[in-house]
Amino acid sequence: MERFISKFEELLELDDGTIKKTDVFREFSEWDSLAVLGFSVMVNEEYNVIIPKVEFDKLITIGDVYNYIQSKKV
Amino acid sequence: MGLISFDNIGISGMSATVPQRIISNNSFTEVFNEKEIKNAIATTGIKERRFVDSDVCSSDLCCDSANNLLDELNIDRDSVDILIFLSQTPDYAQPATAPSIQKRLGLSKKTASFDINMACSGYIYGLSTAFAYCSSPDVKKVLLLVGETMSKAISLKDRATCLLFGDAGSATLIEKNEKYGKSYFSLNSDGSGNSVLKIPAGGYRVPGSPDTTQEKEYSDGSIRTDEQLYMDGMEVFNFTMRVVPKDIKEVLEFAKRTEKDIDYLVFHQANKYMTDYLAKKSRFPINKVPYSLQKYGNTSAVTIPLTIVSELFTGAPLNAKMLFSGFGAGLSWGSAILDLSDCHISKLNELA
Repeated sequence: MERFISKFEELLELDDGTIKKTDVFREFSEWDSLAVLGFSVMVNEEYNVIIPKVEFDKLITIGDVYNYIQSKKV
Repeated sequence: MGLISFDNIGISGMSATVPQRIISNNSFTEVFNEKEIKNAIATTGIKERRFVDSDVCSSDLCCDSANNLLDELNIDRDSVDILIFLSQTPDYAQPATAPSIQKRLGLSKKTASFDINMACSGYIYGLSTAFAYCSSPDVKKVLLLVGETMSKAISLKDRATCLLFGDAGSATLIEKNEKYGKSYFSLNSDGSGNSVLKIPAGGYRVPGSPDTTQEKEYSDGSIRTDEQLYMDGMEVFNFTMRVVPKDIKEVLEFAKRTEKDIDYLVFHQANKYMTDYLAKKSRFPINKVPYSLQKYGNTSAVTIPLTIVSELFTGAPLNAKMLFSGFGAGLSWGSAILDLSDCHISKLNELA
């Protein structure tokens, strides 16, 4: 989880420790369409997971995303 | 089907044409703030594109490419057996554009001329069609024209698409010769992703009407009509990551080759960040992956021949082992492995 959060902070170019598990990631001003692309690559590269958009739309917090990835990781 | 191979068919020449008018991405300050534009350019790699004037069509760009290629190769215009025009921006809803190009190029009335409607994977599909025709003992020359005026299909107020697309045309001459050896194609489709990249109205399922030409505003602030291109960037991106590295692997295995046996991997030019990642996943060093998108953006099916003409032109015939990878709307994707042997590359032409 810590590693995932730190990857997320890196992606949004935020300082270490800014993001919490309960944060709603879509509310970050840094979360734009390009961050989405970076996010997709990060998740694919780190966890070998691709999140379909219908599933992704249901994920609200950083923790939700982490849990989803854990459930799909091979 | 998926995988097809051909013997002793190859590309003898290639040319491309772009409009003269440059559209700089830095000028889109009404849609994005400065930081957003800077980030978009850094990620997509696209700095500028070329747009046609409203009276210029894909066919005009293609005719320019074709005339240059046929003249430079000194091809007797009566000797072209098949003319294929591949585009999603034809001159008219009906009829097909290719017969009018037969007339404009002064080709024989015995030329078989027809259109193919395909998006970003189109060059691979068009080439495979040309190779298949050329495999017949009765066919000697196939002229494949691929052209697109994407600027007429997008909204300049749509945040997902307004910085990406551009216009271009190309011509590729396909002939038989034992020097070409074997070529390998992988062709695929997945219609379940039909709606992620689509112009929803203006066809015959949802005909054009006053409503479909009405601008609508969406939650991301994008404004477009139903007769303009919609793109779900994340879905397209996910699709590409899912299928492209796998397809490259499959076509390499089919050809019994590895990335070491390939001189250039030419991707459809959609997004540099994405294709850099795809190249890395397929273990191709970045110096084998040419890019033209910084200058011309995404010109749909034209990007592969445009990249070869703009980036690999030296004035001398090109000899290289190529892997092409195209992917996009449909959803549709494909790859091709072929050897260019003494391939004539025209200098990129700008049409005023």
